[in-house]
Amino acid sequence: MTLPQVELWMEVEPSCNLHCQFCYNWWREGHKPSPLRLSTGELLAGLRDLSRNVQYTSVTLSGGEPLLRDDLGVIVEFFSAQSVSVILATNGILLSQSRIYELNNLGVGTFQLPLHSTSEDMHDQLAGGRSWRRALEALVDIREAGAKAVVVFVATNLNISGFPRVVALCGALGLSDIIFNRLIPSGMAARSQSYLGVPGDQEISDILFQADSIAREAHLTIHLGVPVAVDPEIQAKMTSVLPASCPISRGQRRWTIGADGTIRRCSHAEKAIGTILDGGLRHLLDELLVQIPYSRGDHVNCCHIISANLVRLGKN
Amino acid sequence: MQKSDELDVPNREQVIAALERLSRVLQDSVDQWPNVQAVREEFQVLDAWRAVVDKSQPDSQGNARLSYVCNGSKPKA
Repeated sequence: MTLPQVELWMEVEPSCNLHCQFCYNWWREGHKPSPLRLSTGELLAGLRDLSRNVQYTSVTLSGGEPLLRDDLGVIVEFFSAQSVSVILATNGILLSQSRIYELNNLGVGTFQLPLHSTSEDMHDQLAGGRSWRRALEALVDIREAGAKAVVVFVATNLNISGFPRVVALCGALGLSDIIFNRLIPSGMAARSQSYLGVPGDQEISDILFQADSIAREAHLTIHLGVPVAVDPEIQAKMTSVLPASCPISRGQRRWTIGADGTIRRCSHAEKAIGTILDGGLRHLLDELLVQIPYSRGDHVNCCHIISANLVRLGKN
Repeated sequence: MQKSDELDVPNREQVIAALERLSRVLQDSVDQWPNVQAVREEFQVLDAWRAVVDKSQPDSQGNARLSYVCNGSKPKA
């Protein structure tokens, strides 16, 4: 029997050693406690149950900061034993050379690290702590270890003009992929959006057009991490920018699993359909196999809040 | 890191230092894209390093590809 394929985004650790101003984790808005963390045994038992009914195609281990979790290697081994592609999304602070080799040997093939500016001060201001140099060091170490490094850039009004320069730096590092995200005003970002600013579609289109020519020469691909309504004329001229789509849809394949085992449609949303330890699995399978209708209310922060903000600001 | 026959292979610290200098050059050029001269030395270091980590030959045109990254793609004013 062919099992339905699922791509997981797992927030394995809710705590973090940075205070990114743009962080979209719902528990960072300040009104609610962080989710509890399942034990290693509970998490693996839930994932094992789930894997009897679905086929994992890839998993991204995220947080918070996943490297704060002592049993991260055990979780990586669980997925690599099933030949699942494992991506680690980290801020890089704890990513020593020995940790890179260890995790790579266990099955992490790709490391995702943030680089929000070629300016150390700008990056560290957005990240809420000193981390730019560590990210740069980790990117070099990942390349030397023979693993894949992918840079993640979060665009705010403060740093978006520097995106082409970040692309140039990634070219110098010999990277092949960079992810471009727009600020999502949920979590911590809901509190800081007024001073960070959410770039509009036209502004993003212009910057992506500049970055596209640099990316082409550097053999880099720019992946949009969130949907952006790029100007169609500009999109037609770009060859190195790949658009994104919202994961929320009928029969959706991309799912988020929280540190407490909750199953969610989108990493930007708090609303859960259950947990991997109870009826959430059945609901997820219903989605995959029967394609039950979904509620418009499930589109939470990303799409609705951004569009509402941009309309309010007169940007689109 | 293994040694190249043709180029001195920079060590980790030299690579990181070159990236930091390149970042400053890129960042300092707020109103104009940096010229090649300003970043040539950094490109040479990084080109030699990438040739080793990617197990490929160094760019036959020296650092032409990376030079173009900075010199040939000027952002709109």
